[in-house]
Amino acid sequence: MVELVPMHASFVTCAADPAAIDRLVEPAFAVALRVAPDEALVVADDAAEVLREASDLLAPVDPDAVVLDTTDGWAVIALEGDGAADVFARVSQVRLAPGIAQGEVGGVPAIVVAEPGRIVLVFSAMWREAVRERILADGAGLGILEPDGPRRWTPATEARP
Amino acid sequence: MPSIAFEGRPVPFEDGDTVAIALFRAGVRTFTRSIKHHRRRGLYCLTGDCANCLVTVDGVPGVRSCVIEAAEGMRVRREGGWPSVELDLVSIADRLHALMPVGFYYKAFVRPRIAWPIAERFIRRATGVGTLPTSSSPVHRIERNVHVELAVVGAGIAGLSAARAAAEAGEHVLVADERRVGELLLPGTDRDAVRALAEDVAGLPNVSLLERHTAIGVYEGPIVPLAGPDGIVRVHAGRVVVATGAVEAHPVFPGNDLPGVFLARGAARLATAFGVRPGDRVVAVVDSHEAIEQLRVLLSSGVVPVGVVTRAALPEDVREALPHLLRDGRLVRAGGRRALREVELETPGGIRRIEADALVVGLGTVPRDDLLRMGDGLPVAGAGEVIRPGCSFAEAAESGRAAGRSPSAWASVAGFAPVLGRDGYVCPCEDVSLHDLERAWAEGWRSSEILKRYTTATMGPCQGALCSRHLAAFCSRARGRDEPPVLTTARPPARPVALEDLAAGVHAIVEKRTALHERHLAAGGVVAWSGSWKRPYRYGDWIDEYRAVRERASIMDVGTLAKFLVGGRDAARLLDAVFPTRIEGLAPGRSRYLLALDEAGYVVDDGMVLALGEGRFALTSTSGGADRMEAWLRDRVDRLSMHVHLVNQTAMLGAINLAGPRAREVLQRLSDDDVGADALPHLGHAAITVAGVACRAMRVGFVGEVSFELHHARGRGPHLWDALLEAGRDLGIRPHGLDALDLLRLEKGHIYLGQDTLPDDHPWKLGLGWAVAMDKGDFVGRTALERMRALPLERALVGLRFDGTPRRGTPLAAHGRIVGRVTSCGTSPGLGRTIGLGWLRAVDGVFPDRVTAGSTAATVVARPFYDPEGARLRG
Repeated sequence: MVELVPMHASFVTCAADPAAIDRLVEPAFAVALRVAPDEALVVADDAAEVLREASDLLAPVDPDAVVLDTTDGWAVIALEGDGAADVFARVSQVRLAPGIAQGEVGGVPAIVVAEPGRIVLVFSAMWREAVRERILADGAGLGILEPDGPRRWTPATEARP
Repeated sequence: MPSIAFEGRPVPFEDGDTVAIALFRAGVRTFTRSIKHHRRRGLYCLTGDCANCLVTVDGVPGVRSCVIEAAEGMRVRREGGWPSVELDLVSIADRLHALMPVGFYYKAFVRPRIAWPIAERFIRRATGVGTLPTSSSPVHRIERNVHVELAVVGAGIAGLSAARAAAEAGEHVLVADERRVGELLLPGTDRDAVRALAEDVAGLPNVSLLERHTAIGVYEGPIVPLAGPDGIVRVHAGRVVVATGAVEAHPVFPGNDLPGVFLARGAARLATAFGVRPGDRVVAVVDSHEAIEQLRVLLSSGVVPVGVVTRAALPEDVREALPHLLRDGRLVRAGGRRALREVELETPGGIRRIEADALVVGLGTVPRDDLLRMGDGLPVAGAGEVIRPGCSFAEAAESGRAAGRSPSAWASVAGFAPVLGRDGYVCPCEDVSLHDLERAWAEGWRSSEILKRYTTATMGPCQGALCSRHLAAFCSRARGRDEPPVLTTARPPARPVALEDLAAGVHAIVEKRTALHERHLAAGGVVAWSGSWKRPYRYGDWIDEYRAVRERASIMDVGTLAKFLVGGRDAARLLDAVFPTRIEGLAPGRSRYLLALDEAGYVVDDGMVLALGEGRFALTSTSGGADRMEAWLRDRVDRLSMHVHLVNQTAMLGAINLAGPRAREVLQRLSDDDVGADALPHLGHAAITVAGVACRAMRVGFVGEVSFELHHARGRGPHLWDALLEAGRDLGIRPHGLDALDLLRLEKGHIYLGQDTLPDDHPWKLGLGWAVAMDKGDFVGRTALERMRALPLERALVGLRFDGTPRRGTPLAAHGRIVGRVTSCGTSPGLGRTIGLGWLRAVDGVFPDRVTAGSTAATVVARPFYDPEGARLRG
């Protein structure tokens, strides 16, 4: 059995010099998904707090760093349960490994966070429905359930650069 | 007893039978008709290598009947032949070889030109291949991805040994075989050993064994796609061991394709695994160690050949069991019409003819190495017979262990056993005989690659499994020099694969939606594709939507626009170096129209640039081009080594355009910020709060009225949309879709990139020269523009006023010549006539001012058609 769970979380995008981004992984206030040498996506409970703290962290190294609340730009869904990896294998060529990976999932670019017991997919909000529908179609026969309502996502693993 | 439905009659089968065996038991000897000469073909290899037994199973053509297991109710019919395979009138072709020499279709039907299309249809129908199903109901096949350290193709002794060696070293291994383990092996200790090993290996936690999964190729990665019962398994492997074994050498002699001629492995399998005699009077030609073993097996199954030809030393027990042994005989010819009737042998005492209904030939093996050769340059190694044809069981096991242990166990492909006689079919799939090869060679096609293309040898369903080495050997021999034979390139698919399997995992464009999608549907919007987005075209009366913009107030979802934030020390410098627009000096709170050019000076995109202050800029560009624009900008940032931070905000920002003469009034009702013409003039922008939603309001003018493009956090879109509609209800506000927008922008003479442009349009051709600052520094496309500007325009996009109503795409003519094309047109309710855009070519250096679009006359007029001074826009 697999559950396709809609999730929500706050996101802050930080675009700055790589040396500045390096500093983001130190604090304990949130989890930074490093998507490029000069870009990190910080997952947090409170975007406002992260905006403030990340700006303070980045500014000494890169005063021109861009820190933006991008929460609305992201869709997050999780595949939970024993068959999660089987469902995932039908929609993505990405190799699952602890931590984060980037690649195509359901035909769209996504960040894949493999956590104990679940696979979390982060991708552009404009594809929220399309990816959900693709997973349900390609995973047909694998017993996918959709529980009600979004759950809050607090990343279990810290994805260090 | 269970049965299959074979051409309308039930044919019983026994447990474990393949379709081919069931049919053979039922007396079927002709399985198919050959592609060109319509010769009868019967069971031959029984190892899945040749194309002699292809049938249509449950509507799927080209299925290897010797591979697929029979199942209750399966509908099977043979392919080719007219009216049937048994009574095939087209088989007259077998008497007309002289009329259809090799490559005849390249030389015949050339004149008159209509001859080939007609002949081609006939030829295609006459070929003995199956018919594709025409049902339009899609068959959904799944694709799944598997990641392993080692993929092994072939679960024989070599493959399983490789798998175990790697698994014991801790690697994750996947082993695939197109059959069940040991299925092709004869009963005995070898088969028992392979099955025991398979059980052992499959029991290891880090190994998965997939039976009935056929590897169809080796791709870069390496990736090995397997066609299985449910669809495709795409195996991503660190390395690959190919242990596909060897195929029995295909002997070439006259009559080698007659039903009744068997390769030794096939005949032995028939007799032992299925208890079916290949014939009543069997002649055997055995020259390899393996073939002698098979002869022994045949003997023990009660098949006593009436003649055996061999040059090998036979073991005592085999020799004693044989009544007739011809030590110095040579196979010359097989005779018969419907099937084998006699075998002609050359002996020291002269030609001997033996009446026979089965000829079993075992001359040795050649590697089944196409997958191995596809893996050239990739971490792909061979093991077992595929690299050492004819090797012993123990040697194959050892070779497998070596390949499994060592990631660098590379192996060269050895073993040529071409057996070319006087004539005969070299490539049975494509009906190419040795004589055909000789003729093509004489015509000048003198390499294996070019001979292959001319004769189509090796290009049939078996993909050269039988004949690729013959072709290479033929060239080598014909050249008469001591050159090594050159094999043609191996390419996927290595085995026949269904089209729906190739389509597994392939989907249409992934649909993009804005946050307002549900609002559009609830309002009865006609929502359809626009590029990769789903967008509303209209909500009902689209003419009233148009009027709402021109006369009242209206909103449109423009969240699909590409949106970027450009920050960093060099943001302004980058934009100036990339776009022809002047960025330097653009004051915060102001915006400019932006063109994007490629190096050739051609327009690739357009949009707006907004100075945000503190050295930051916002950028918008066309809806379909966000990914391309982002990639293009990032490439420029890298190339110019600039300090720039680029964030693609397309998904995170929604955008609603509020437009119309009462638009400001609506906006002011929802905002405490000053949105008057002084605070927010045309091409100005400001951060304001609308209905509690933080927005960046931009005064832009695509529709030609006072407009506020409100960019906001995507999630607040529905709330803002509802609030605007509510606030403007008494003013007659309503949303408009793409249909109204098309007319609104056309009245203003604004272009749609892609629709109104051609790939080689520079800004002056489009009337956009004003958007290019040639007096600033370098930018992408500048050098090309300097050159092109010096030349007179030979083509230009113009405004057109029509007397009638042509369709988009109608050619424009002047002086009896086609001079252009209508790219946009529509009937303007405001102007009361049909207007459009189109491109025109200059005639003798002059652009015509009167043209015709089909039967409609048109006048070239100045753009814009509506509010040329822009008073309404700026208001």
